[in-house]
Amino acid sequence: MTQTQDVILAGGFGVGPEVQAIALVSQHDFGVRYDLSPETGVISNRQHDLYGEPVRNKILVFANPKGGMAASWALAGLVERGIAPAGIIFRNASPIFVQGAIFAGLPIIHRLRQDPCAEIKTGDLCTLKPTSGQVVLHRDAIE
Amino acid sequence: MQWAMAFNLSLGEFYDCEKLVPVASAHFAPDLRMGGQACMTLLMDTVAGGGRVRVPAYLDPCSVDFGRAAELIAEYGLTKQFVAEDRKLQELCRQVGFIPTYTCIAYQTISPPAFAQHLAWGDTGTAIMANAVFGARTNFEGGPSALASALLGHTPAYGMHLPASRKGNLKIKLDCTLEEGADWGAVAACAGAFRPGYDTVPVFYGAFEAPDFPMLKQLGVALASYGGHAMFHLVGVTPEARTVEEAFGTPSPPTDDHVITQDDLNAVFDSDDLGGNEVDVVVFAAPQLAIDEIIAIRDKLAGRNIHANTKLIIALDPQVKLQANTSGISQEMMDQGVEFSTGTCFYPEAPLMLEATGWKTLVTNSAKLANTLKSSEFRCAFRRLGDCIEAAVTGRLAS
Repeated sequence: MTQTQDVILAGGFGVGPEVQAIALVSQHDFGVRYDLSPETGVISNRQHDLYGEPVRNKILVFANPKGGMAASWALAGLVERGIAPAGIIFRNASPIFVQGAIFAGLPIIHRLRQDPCAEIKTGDLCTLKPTSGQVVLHRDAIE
Repeated sequence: MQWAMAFNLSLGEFYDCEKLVPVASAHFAPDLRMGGQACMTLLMDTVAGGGRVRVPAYLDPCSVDFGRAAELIAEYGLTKQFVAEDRKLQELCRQVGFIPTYTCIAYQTISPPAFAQHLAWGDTGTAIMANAVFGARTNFEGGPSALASALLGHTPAYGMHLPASRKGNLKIKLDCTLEEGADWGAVAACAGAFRPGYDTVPVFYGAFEAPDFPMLKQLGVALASYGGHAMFHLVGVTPEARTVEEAFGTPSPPTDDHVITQDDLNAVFDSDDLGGNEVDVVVFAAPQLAIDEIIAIRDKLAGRNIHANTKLIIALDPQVKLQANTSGISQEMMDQGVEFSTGTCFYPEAPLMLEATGWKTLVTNSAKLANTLKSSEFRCAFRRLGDCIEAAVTGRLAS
């Protein structure tokens, strides 16, 4: 019999609605103009560890943000095109990503007590709770 | 206005801000390719609601050199629709009160900020220069944020508006020879990897000669690009770092150093992914060039023509283009085959040009440009100015 066993990552700061989706985890930094095709929503930097992965409906987990202005618009652009992620987690976000998430209405969380890049695995079902600064991992527990 | 206040309050709440601060000016970067209709709709709603900027408000480079629109459509692959929409976007910005400066070097060609002045400047390369070189105070204000702050005349007081956030927290010794802008861009490419992040404020020290302004530009924009940093200190050069102790804000700065050596610097220049040595396009952009930098390129060209199979493109703002025109420099260089892209910074629209132009390989002396184009199909080489000029003249990268 399979049951779920929740693991809670806490202590973060967030904004946006609560969402539940599958995680896509990177050990690399992320910048929209640097790493993503805004037309397809696919990671397009050949040197990125998520190269070729679509971000649609995923909770993206990255180390740090990089780059500039693009993220402030691009998240809303991805929403408009129906290829947006469900939410974003950084170890430590930048204002540009926070601003972009607010504008797009997407949840974003950073500064969790635990390292999200180590604790969250690609394929984990996650719930983002921005107002309480928590990420809940719903993992299978085998009895 | 309601949207602007709600946006800034959400931002302020995220960062646990105590107050909003008045800003002296705003710098706004609309972006159709990234923002799609969300960007257009926000501006249309602002115009419809009677929104007007409350402070001097400048525009970042746009995606179209409108003086060459027909050529860009016919030869470079920009669509008529893209050009028309960008024109409409710029008109909406004008109706809100933004000045069509189309510049990412507003600190150089429009209005240098004063020390300790609060700003709402977007474009990360512009913001880091305002913070580090001028001692002004701004966060990276993305498009929606800069618009909200321009409409309100105020911005939330977090991050680089707070003195404590501006102190150094990463010590880097420069043990290398730094002779031109590209060398400083290479320093940033190395330094940005040490501890990427907005909260990281690197402090550079060593026995280097004080850099000139073009060198500071390359260091600043590339630190924002590679490290995501919004602030840096250069001991003995930048205004909040007369000493290492002042840069760190403590009489006991950290003793552990990162060191950037000549080998580290050379490794940045040695790496590229051209896949051969034929060069399709040489680009000087990111940031836009000032007239002194254009003169330096003209002098390096020394009367030689650009190779028939290679383009040399210089991105500059309308203010500098006027200087280049009235001095006769632009005509002289265009006669040699140089192209000027006015009011753009090349990289936002460059991926849209690949198919029509057939460009594959690009050489630049901007570390930021090489970094930014990694998500595109361009194959880039980052080189010093002289190597870039030789590539433009011979059509090949020597090494």
